[in-house]
Amino acid sequence: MRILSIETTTRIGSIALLENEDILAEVQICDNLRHSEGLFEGIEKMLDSAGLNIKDLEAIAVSAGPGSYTGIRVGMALAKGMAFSLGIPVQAVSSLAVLALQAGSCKNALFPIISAEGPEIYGALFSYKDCLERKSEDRVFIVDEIKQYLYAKTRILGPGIERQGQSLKELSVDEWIIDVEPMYPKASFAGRLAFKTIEGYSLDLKEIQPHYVKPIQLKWHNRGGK
Amino acid sequence: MLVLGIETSCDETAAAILDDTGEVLSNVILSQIKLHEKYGGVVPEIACRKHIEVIDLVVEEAVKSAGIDKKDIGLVAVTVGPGLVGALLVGATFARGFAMGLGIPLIGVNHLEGHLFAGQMEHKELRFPYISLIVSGGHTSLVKALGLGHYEVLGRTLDDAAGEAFDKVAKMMDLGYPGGPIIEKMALNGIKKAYKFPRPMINDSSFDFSFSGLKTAVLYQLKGYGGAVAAPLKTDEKTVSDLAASFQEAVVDVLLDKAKKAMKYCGLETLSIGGGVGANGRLREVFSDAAEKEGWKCFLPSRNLCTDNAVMIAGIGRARFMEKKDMLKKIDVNPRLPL
Repeated sequence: MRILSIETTTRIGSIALLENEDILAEVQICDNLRHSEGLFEGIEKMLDSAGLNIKDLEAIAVSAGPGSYTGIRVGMALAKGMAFSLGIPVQAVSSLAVLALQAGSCKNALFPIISAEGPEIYGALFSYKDCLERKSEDRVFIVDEIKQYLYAKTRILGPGIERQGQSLKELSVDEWIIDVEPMYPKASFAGRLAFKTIEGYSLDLKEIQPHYVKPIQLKWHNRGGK
Repeated sequence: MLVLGIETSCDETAAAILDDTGEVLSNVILSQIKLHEKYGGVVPEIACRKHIEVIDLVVEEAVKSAGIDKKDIGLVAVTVGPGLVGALLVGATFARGFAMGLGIPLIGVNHLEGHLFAGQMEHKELRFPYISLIVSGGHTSLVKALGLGHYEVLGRTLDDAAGEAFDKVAKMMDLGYPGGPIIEKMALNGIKKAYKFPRPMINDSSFDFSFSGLKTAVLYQLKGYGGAVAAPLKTDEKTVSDLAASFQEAVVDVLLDKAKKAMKYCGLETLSIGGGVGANGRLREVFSDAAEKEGWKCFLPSRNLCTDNAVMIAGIGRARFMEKKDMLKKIDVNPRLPL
């Protein structure tokens, strides 16, 4: 099954082309996702290099969040638009599950984190011995309160390290294993996770909709006028 | 060539299909009014969330009710600005993904140009050049439209848009949201001259508008500030109706006066109206009467082409594409895209 995979939920986005679980090509998109231009150029480049036509795609994988609201919607809009015109299915996956898969097998628990607003982070617990298993639902935490949820020796990873690494270290008192570098979710792993899900390995999202995890916080807006 | 139009710039998710000749095959609009109602205005994050949730369903419905095969679509036109950036991104990215999947061209469209062009979609006798009055919740502009892509903005609002003033005045009187239809309804039984509200900038030589002061005048009248009246008004139905009618009349008066001045200044005798406030019954009546009496032409698109829709987006995209086929392969959304 040829899969186009889209991961745009964090600062560093990517797209990948897979044949089942094998990566055929992957492109990192560092430019401003608001202009989504890089995504489309990247897809053309990947298809070219793999010698494929867009009509050869059989499924689309999309990382549905949590993460940047705008990023989530850009990825989802691309997935929905392309899947609709090609008449192929979409599989949505959680960006936190993508990170856990990317972390690889590990005897300790995994706790991927992505920054939310202010002192908040998105996180979920996974175990990954022989296969990846979800231990808790994706949710939003205040950094200070995660202590009560994590086992000793839990490995904390993901883009959330960038902003919250220091506070986590202060909280941890050497109990947790905190990644030194932030790891960003990659489209290739989102594609693998989606493929596993399509194959019936039920770990991930059922609905093809954004997975914000957090309800709306209102900001007022004036309709413009000038 | 079948054209798919997509519009998501504010609080309507819309899609439309035009046939080979530019005739409308379908016009689907999913309004989010109910979602924003309790906040008295458009909440961007709510709008964006709704757009991405329903965009595929809205486009699918447009294709289905047009009775076409989506594979026969030859062009996609999508609004790229002005509007809410997150909302624009949903439509633009969906459209680009859709066009890429089918290997067909995509054209980015200016939302205001859509409103300017809406009159031509319905009235074949409307041709350039003409004066366009674009009047909605986000915009109030007078434009000299010389030809496709040749526009000169003569004037615009310096503060609130006309539709925004309707919303705010309705909110002041606890009438709900959106203000336009509610004020119009209340005004039906009101006396237009009951309150003497200012006609802001009516004697100003520019073609600019200002509605913020008018809104404040309504507030002062209502609350009894500023010595106009000694005490706050009782908000019984009669008073509210009179206030609504007097306010609406002031807005329409200014719009008509400035539009007429713009036609005179440019030596044109044709006016086309676009935008949600163009659906206002009193405005339609006053403009049509004046045109008939004074011997100029006024083109009013039907109400569902005045408010935000994808038909006008498909229409202007089609016209632009037929004029110059190599246009705009890339699309960049721009929340402040000028006309």
